[in-house]
Amino acid sequence: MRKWFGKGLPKQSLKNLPGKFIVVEGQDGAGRTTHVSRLRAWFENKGFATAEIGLRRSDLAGKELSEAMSTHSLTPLTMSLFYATDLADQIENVLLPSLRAGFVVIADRYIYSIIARAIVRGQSMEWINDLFGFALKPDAAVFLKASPQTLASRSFFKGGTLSFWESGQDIEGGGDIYLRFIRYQTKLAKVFDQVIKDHKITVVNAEGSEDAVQATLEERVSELLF
Amino acid sequence: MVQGKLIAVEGLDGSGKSTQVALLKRWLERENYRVFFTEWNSSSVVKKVTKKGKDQKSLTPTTFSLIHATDLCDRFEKQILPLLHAGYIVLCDRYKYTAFARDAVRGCDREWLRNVYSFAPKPDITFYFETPLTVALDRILSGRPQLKFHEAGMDLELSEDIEESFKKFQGMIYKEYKKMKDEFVVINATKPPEEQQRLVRSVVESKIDLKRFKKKRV
Repeated sequence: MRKWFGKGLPKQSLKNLPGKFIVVEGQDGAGRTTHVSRLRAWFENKGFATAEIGLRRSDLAGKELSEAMSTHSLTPLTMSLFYATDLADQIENVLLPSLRAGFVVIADRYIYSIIARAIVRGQSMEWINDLFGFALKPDAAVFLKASPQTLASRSFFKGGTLSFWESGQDIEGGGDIYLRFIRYQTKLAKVFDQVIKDHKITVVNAEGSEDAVQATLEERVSELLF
Repeated sequence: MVQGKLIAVEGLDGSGKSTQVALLKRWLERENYRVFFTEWNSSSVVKKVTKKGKDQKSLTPTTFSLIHATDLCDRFEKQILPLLHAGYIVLCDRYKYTAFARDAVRGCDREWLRNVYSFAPKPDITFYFETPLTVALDRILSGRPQLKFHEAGMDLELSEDIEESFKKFQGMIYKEYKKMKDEFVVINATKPPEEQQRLVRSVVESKIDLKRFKKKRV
């Protein structure tokens, strides 16, 4: 049975959505994007058609939201609402049509990341949860879990540095960027623990080798879907 | 508690609210009060997105609502709230009630809308410029015949004729505003503009201790 988180989207029906909707969550550096692309390949090998959504990827607001983030021109509440706009556009224009066509849709992050970031910045959990009442509940949601130290070393490896937002530089004063990153990601992990509990998200240990994590991920997703 | 005061104006297109708030602003400025004016859909951060969505007609009731909430929130966090803290009188041409009315007509859930906009506090005064529907329609349809797609509610598919759609859409918004009347100071907008303005100014004087907002001479 398909469900919205709250009241759902006006003028959209939950009927005839035979596809599958999977969310892969995880903090920056957990290997999310790598595993999402391998998961797509895995489904396609099995003969499923796939599509992907994520943050800042909507036709409507993706580019503008990225720009606003990189110029640090958004205050925290505005950020939550802008991300919600971006996600709503993808739900209506990519997710629902793809599910209707029987696709497997994988979200590389979903409302949970936006919720966790909002809460870590002091926004009310009730407000942010209610905001996403328009969103569709996934068939399966997994969280790739790694320690802040692992996240930092993978982020360094990937980009040569740590990002402004992922080291919480808008809210973490004091210390160098590494220390801020660890402090911020530790706080974020705590909030995620609560979100994982509230939304019954399946945790996958992401500390191991890429292949080992992928194998566990495929196993969990199979259990949740089939 | 903030020191400043928030005044909003609401009403149908053609109710004359923008004229009235401009006159109010002029008076407050002439009297040397600290005053700031902001209008609906004007945040530079989200403007491009709104324009794109409207041009491509790709906005749904939900994204239409959320992008306008983002607009108000951006102005609220960057201007309205800090200016209220700094002791300004902030004037808003359209405020959250515009969204409550329009978005409810588009099918958004009323409770959800109230929650989304809960970041925006109830103004100290919300003026609602009330006109019979036919008067507002006349003012718009005679003076400014080039109606825009969303302004006419064409996305609701009420009619294929844009003028007909505009009339129906405005009628639905009018009903939504009516439900919220308890939250407003209602001004009869069929009266001459100068008479309305006298009333507006007297309400402001009675509800706000204006001398606290005098600019200090330097």
